[in-house]
Amino acid sequence: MNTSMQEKVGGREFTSIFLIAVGMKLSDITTTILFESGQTAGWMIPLLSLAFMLVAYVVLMSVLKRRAGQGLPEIVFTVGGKFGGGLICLLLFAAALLMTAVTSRGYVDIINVMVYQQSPLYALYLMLMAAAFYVASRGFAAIARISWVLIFLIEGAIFLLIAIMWQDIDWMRLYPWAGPGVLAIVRTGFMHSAMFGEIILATALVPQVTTFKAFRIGSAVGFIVSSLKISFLMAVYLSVFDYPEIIHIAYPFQQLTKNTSFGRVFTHAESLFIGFWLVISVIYFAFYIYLLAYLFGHALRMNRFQNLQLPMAGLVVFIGLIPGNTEQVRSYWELLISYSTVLYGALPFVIWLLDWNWRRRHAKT
Amino acid sequence: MRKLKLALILPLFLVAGCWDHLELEEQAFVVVVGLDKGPGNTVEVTFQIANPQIGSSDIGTAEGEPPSDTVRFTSPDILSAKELANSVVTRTINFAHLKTMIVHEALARDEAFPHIAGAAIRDPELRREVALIVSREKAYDFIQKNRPRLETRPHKYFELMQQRWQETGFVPFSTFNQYLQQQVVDSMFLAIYATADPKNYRVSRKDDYLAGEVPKHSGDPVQMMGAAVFRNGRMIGTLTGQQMRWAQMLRHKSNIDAFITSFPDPLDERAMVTVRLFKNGGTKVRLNLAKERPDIHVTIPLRAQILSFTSLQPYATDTEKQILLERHLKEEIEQEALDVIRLSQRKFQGDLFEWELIARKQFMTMPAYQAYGWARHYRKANVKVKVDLRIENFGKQRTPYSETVKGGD
Repeated sequence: MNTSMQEKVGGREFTSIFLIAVGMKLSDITTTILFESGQTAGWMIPLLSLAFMLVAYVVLMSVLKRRAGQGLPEIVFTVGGKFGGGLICLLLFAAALLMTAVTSRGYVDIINVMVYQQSPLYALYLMLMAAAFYVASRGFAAIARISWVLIFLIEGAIFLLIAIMWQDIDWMRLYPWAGPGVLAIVRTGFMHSAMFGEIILATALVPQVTTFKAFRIGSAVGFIVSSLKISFLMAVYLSVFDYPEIIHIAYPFQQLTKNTSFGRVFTHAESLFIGFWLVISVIYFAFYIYLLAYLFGHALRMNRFQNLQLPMAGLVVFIGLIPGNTEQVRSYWELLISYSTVLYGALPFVIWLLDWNWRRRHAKT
Repeated sequence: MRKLKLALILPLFLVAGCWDHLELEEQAFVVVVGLDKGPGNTVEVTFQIANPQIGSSDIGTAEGEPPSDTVRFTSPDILSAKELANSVVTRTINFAHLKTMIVHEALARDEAFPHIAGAAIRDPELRREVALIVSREKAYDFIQKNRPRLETRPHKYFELMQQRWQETGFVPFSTFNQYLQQQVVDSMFLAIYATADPKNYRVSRKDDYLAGEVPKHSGDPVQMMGAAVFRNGRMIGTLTGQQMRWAQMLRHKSNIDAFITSFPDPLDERAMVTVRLFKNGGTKVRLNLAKERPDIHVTIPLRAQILSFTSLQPYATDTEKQILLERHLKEEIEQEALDVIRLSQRKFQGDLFEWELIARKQFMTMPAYQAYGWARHYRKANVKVKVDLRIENFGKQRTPYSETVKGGD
C-alpha cells in the first residue's frame, strides 16, 4: 500500500517503542497486583523480574547474534524444522494474544471506571481497538515514528506528575524495605517475569530494524529504562498512598493524577494526564496488533501478514470481553503471567539447544 | 474508496459522546458535603451547591440569586443521596469540584462512620484530596450558619481557609486520603475541628483554644481550631489548637514551618514573650525498640524570632538575659511537647505523630513489624524531648523604651 511497510526502523525509534509499550505497565493493573504480594517492597519486583528475563534474553541473543538479520520466526523455522518452528511461533502467538486481550480489557476497565462510567464496555473497547488498528495498519515504521515523536512528551508528563506530587511523597513509607521477606519478593519477582515477556517477542522484529546492533541496544535500553521507570513510579505510589492503603486502590496511577493540580486555578490536572495516557494506550495496542499479525503470519508462513491485523484486533476484542468483571480480569492476568513465565523463560533455552543441535549436524556434513 | 471511507467516518462526529456526555449548563457543582447521623442506619447528607453565575461576568442574568443553595436528604449513603437530590435540584449533581466534607461529631464518633466514608470513596468523582472537617454541631447547621462576609463564593472560602490552616498550624491538614490511610488497626488520624456555634469563650494566654472557645466578637461565626482525634476510623477526642501545633512539630515531616506563639516571660511572670518559631530542618526521632518499654528520643530543631516582650527587659542587648530567655523558651517548649505526648499515650492510647513510619524502618519485613505491635508498645514508651533552639533576632528595635517600667511597681 505504501512504502512505510518495507521501511526499516532506526535505533532510537525502536527504543522509544519499548519505552512506551513496556513503560505503560506503570499505569495499569500490573502495579496493584504486584503490591498485593510485594507489600512495601512491591517496587522491587519489576527490577527483579527484568533481571530474570534478561537471563533468558542473553541466551536468545547468543543465537540471534550468529544469525544476524534473521528474526525469531525465521530462526525457529531453520533450527526447528517446519513443525517445530510452527509450533513455537504459534505458542508465542497464543501467549501474546491472550496477554493482549487481558491487558486491553484492563485498560478498557480503567477507562470505564475512572472516566466514562455510563458508556457500555463494548463500545469503549471497539473504539480503543479501532484506533489501535488504524495506527497498526500504517505499518511498523509508522508506530515507531509516532513513538519517537511522542516519547519526550510522555516522559515529560510523567516527570511533571512526580514534580507536582513531590510534596505528598514520604519515602519513609517504603519501610520495612523487604515487605513480606526477601525470599517471597524474589519468588514473586520470578513468577511475574513474564510481564517483560515482550523482550522475547521483540526478537521477532529483528529484520524490521536497520542493524542488529541497533536492535540489541534499542531493546536493552528500552527494557532496562522501562523497568526502572515502573519501579520508581511504584515507589512513588507507595510513598503517597502508603501500605496497606495501596492494595485497596484499584488504579494507583489514575488516582495519583486525580490528586494533581497546578496551583489554585488548574485544580483538575488529571484530564491532561488521562489524555496523554489514552494516546499512549492506542500506540501500545497498535504495537501489539502489529506483533500478533506478524507472529501469526510467520507461523503460517504467510507473506501478507498485514491483512491479518483486522482479524487480530477483532479477536482481541472478543477474547477481552469474556471476563465478567474487573476482578476476574485480575485473576486471569495472574494466571496468564505465571504460565507465560514458563514459556518465555524456557523458550530461549529450547531454541539454544535446537540451534546447538543444528550446528552440530551441519558441522559434520 | 476514499469517498466511501469519508462517508463512513464523517457521521461518527455526529454521534460522538452519546453515553457520557455532560452539558455544562446542566451541572450542579457541589462544593461542600455535610454528613449527619440519620435515623436507623441512614445518613443525612447536606449538599451546598455553588451558583456559578455569582462572581462571574454572567451575574446580570442571575440577579437576586444566592451564591449557593443548600439541600439536605436522608439516605443510606452519600451516593444515593446524590441521585435523590435530583428530585429537587434541576441540574445533575456533580462532585467533581467537591473540596470539603463536613462531618458531625456525633457521626464521627459513631461506629458506622468508617463504613460510610469507605463506601463513598468508590465513586470516581469523589477525590481523595477532599478536606475532612469535624463540626461540633450538626453539619447541616454548620453549612447554614457559615456565611463568610469577605468571600461570596463558598468554594473560595474553603480554598483560602485551607491555605491559612497550613500557615498557622492550629488545625491539621486533613484529607480523605490521610483518613483512609490511617484507618488501619491502631492508627491515629487528626481531622480539622470546627464549629459555627461559639459558646464558651475563654481567654487563654497561650492560644490554647478549641473551636468555639476563641474570644472573637464579630464576623463569621465559624471557627476552625484544634483537631478531632480518630482511632481506627472513629473519633475519640480532641486536641486544642496549641496542642495541635506541637503535634505537627513532632512529626518528622510537618506541613507547617513557622508560627507565632507566646510564652510566659522568665523575668516577669505577668508578662508574655511572643516569638515566631521556625522549624529548622526535620524533627529527628531515635527509637530503641529492644526493650519492652521502648525509648523514644525526639529532637526538634527550632529557630526563634523574638517579636515582642511586654516585660520590656533588655534581652536584645544583655547577653546573660538572652541565655536565660533561650533556656527558658527551650524548657517551656519541651514541657508543652511532652504534655501532648503524654496525652496521646494516656488518653488516646495511640501515636499521633506518625512515628510508626520511623518504627517501620527498624524492621526488615512487614509481618515482623505487624507482630511487634507498635501501638501497644508506644503507650508504654519512655519519651524524651529535646529542643535545639536558637534565637535568631529580636525584631527591629534594639533596646526597650524604658527600663523603669519594671521598677515602677
